Amino acid sequence: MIETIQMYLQFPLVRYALIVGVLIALCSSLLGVTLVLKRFSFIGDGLSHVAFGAMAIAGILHLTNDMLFVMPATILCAVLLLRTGQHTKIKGDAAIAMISVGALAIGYLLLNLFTTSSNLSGDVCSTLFGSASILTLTQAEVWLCTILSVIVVIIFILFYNKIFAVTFDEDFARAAGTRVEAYNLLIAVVIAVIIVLAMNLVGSLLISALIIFPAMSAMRVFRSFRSVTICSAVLSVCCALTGILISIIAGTPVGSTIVAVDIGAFLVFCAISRVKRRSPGGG
Amino acid sequence: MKKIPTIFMLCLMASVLAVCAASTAETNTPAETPESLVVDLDLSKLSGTVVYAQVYNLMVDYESWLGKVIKMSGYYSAYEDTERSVVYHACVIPDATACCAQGIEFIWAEEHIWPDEYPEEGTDITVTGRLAIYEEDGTMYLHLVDTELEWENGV
Repeated sequence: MIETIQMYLQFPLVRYALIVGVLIALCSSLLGVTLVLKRFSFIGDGLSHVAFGAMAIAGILHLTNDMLFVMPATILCAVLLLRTGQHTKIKGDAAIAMISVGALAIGYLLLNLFTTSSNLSGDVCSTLFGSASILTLTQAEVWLCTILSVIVVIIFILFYNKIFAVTFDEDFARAAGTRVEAYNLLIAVVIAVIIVLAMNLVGSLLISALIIFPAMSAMRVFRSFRSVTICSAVLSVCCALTGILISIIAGTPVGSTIVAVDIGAFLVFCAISRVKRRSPGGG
Repeated sequence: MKKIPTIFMLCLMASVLAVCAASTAETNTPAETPESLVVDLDLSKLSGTVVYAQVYNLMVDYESWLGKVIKMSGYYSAYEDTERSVVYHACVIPDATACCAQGIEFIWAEEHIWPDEYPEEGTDITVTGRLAIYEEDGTMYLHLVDTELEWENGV
C-alpha cells in the first residue's frame, strides 16, 4: 500500500491534488463551525450554485480567467445572503433556496443556449460533481489556491475572538462594541472564497458536505467552540486526505469519495458520543 | 492559551506541505518494453482517475511531451471518416463519474487491415507509442505514432 501511494506521489498532479485538497478541507471546516452555529449550513450549497452560474456566464463571455468573474459574483451573493438573514421580508433559508436553484437553472440554461463546447453534459457533470478537477490543476492554480487558503486561515486566526462573538450572540457582541456588520461581511467574503476554491475539490453539488460534516461530527463529541473548531479542522483534513488517496488508488470519483469518508467519520463520532453518554460521568 | 490554535494551524499546514513536497522524484521512470522502446510515461498501471487526469494534462501541456514514449491502457475506439476514407483509432479512458472521457489517437506500427486485424470496439487495450502532433484542416491534433497495440487474445 505504501509503495502504491509512493508511486502515485511521483506524479505532480497527485501532489497538487493533496496540497490543494488538504488546504480547502482545512478552510471549509474552520468556517463550517461558524456557519452551522449561525444556522447557515446550506449557504455553501447556495453559493456553489451561484458560482456555477457565474462560471457559465464567464465561459460564454470567453473569459480566459473565469475566477475574475466567478469570485466577485459569489462574494456579492454571499454578502446579500448573510445580510438578508435578519432584516428583510425574505428570510435566510428562503433566500438561499431562491438564489441556489435560480443560479443553477440560469447557468444551465445559458450553457445550453450559448455554449460552444462539444461535450456540454460532460462539462456540467464535471462542474457539479468535481470529477477529476482537483487532479487537473495547473501550477498557477495550485499557487492561487494555496495563497487564498493561507489568507483564509490567517484571517480566521487573527479574528478568532470576534468570529466567536458574532457566531454565538450578535446582539451581545454589538452591545460590547464589536462591529458585527463588518465581521459578518468578512465571514461572507471568506465563505465565498472557500466555496469557489472547493468547487475544484468536490464539485458544486457536494460542497455543503465539506462544511457541515466535520463540524457536526466534532459537535457530537466536543462542547467548546475552540475544541469543536480544532477537531473539525483535523477531521476534515484527515477525511480529505483519505478520500483523495482512496479515489486515486481505487479510481473512484474524488468528490463523492471524500464525502463518503466524511459520512463514515460522522457515524463513528455519533457512536463515540453514545458511548460517552452511557459511560459513568459521561456528558 | 490563545496561541494554541495559531500554532496548531501553522504546524498542520507546514506538515501537510512538507509531506506533499517530500516526493519530488521524476515522474517518468523509464521502463523497458519487450521491443526495447524506452517508455517515458507509463500510465498502464495507474487507476482510471489518475490516467484520465494525466491524459488531460498531457493534452493541455503537450509541448513538453512531444517525442516522448507513452504507454497507457483504456478501451479501443475507432471512427471512420467516410468522406476522407480515413479511420481514426483511439485508446479512450473514461473519468470516474463516467460523464467525460479522454483519449489518445494512435497509429499502429506497420500495415494492418481495419477492422479485421484490429480489436473490437470497447476492447481493453494497451498502447505504447511516441507522442507526435499533426495538422488537419488548420487544426493541430495529437496522436501516438509507431504504436505497439496489445489486447487480450490479440497481439
